[in-house]
Amino acid sequence: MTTTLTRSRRPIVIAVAVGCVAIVAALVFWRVNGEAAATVPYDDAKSAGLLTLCSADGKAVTEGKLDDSPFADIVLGETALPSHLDPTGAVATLFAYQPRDGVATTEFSGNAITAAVEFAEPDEPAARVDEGAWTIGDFVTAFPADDDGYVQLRLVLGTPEAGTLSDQPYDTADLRVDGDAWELVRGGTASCADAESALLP
Amino acid sequence: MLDRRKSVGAAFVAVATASTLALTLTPAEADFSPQPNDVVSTGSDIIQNSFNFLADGYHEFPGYNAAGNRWRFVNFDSSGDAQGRSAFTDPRLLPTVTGNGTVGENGIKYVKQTDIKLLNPTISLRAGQDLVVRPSGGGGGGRDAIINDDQGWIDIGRSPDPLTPENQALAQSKLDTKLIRVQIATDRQLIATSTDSNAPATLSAEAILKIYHGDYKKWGDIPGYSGPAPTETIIPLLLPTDAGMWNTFLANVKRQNPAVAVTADYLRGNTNSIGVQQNDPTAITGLTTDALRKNAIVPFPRGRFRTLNKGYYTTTSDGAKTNNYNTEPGHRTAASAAGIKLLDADSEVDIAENTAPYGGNFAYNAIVRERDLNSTTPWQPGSTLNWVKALFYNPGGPKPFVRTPAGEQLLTAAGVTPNYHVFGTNNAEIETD
Repeated sequence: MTTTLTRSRRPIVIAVAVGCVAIVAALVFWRVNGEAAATVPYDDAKSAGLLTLCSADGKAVTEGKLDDSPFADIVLGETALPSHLDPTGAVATLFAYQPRDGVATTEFSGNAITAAVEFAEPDEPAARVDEGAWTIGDFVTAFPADDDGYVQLRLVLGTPEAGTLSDQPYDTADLRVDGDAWELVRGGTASCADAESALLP
Repeated sequence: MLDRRKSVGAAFVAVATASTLALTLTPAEADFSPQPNDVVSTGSDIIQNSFNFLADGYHEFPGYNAAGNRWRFVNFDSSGDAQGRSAFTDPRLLPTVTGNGTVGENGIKYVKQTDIKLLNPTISLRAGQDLVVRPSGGGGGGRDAIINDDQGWIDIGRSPDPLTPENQALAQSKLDTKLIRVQIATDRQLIATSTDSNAPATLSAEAILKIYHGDYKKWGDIPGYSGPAPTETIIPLLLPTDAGMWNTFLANVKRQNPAVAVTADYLRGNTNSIGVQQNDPTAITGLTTDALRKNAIVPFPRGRFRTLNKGYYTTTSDGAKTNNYNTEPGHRTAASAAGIKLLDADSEVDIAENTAPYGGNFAYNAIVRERDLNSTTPWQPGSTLNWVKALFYNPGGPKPFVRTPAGEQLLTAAGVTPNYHVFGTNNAEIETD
């Protein structure tokens, strides 16, 4: 049997269809940009951009176990080395910090997670996380995630000439620890497909 | 024994030399003073560079303090000079003797070399406290300083030497705690020569012993020597007896020549030797003639050699000018190891035989109180780790900073090999992995 819509019901169907498309589009947008739009319980005025965590096989890493080692293989930043600096030998070092309720981000305690890693392009900073680096579990053992489970990652740049750019803005990602797992709450959306090329061999 | 200033007689040094020394005096310093919870280290000069790197980084490599934590890791250099040179009391204040043309220049005033004393620069080990004489050297200023530190102002002693049962007993009696030794890296002492030296490619431990004792005075005295200058006189350069690298040299020569009763005096028996500063490439490159330079040998640490070649150290133009910062392009002229080389430069393993090439590893140790290791007081706000666990030794927990990729990168940048060992209060090694 074939059903033919009557002329009077057609606008309703179209409206429903449009609504469905809008909902799907919103869901897709939320999935793609949801992390970036998330809020965290602190405001870091020096956070200039977001970090994307990548696996060695070119996929985004958004969650893991506390004892995953490394918790991601490559971390991509999005804020370029200041243009007035000689980019020769520029490096990035990943730090982790412990948010504390009522404490300014400048007063967070933390530790270097990676060694300083030379990256390929001055406007695409990146660092490699080696197996010898602290896991997220190591970090929260040393610096418990007491502020609702949050851990902040910062990618700090440096050059041989200027040293570590501790006074410059940095890119960040925010993780949340729950039980024996962590998830990325706020991070970047850069493509991980070519992440390896961001680092010098 | 020859001396660089022999021309004016063994008992005198020229006023010109005195003036040079006067211009290189290190004044009493009132620099950075640590806050109560900062972690303070004192001691060895050869180890100070790597600790400075660990604390404050080097060029693009961030040190521990780069994280911006509330409390800092602070190192006091050994002599008051970041390059580890000795400073001296003002020779202009010493009694003088006037030369008569036979001894010294007629009418010129001289001072006795033995009257010139090492300066003991002072520091404030903690903010707001009265000044103390800077703890200096790995033995006195590292190990012994922490053993005698009943003020709690020194947290870490830097020393290349292991601890003895006597050290532990003394620490227990003075501090009511014993000590833990954390070796974080290994350096290696080798023999340096000029790059165009007449020395053979390697010198055995036996040859070094016999050269420094005076049994071998010419290159041709060394069995098997096939170099270009068998008749030329070997110039063994002598480090000061109070230099850490002299003690390391003495220990290495003893270890590699077990059949000989080696003493400091025994190794200072060659009358052709010349006294020099430790760890200084100009000990060779600054020699005044080719005959001296091409035939000179000196014990030299490989870590220092490597950092020299990175440009870390600066030339100082001793006495020739002051305030180089204002006048030199880029504020400095990098010192380098150009003009010297190390024999057997890539060797790694100690061989306790006199036929093996001379060389000996020595440890970069952090000596800490056991009480601090066991402290339940966290160091940084919000952390669970006390400072020993954060920086040096954290059994069963996250790696301390010196073992992280960042820490090991800094040790490598300092020219040494990360090499981690921990020794307990009975001085026996503790398994760490």
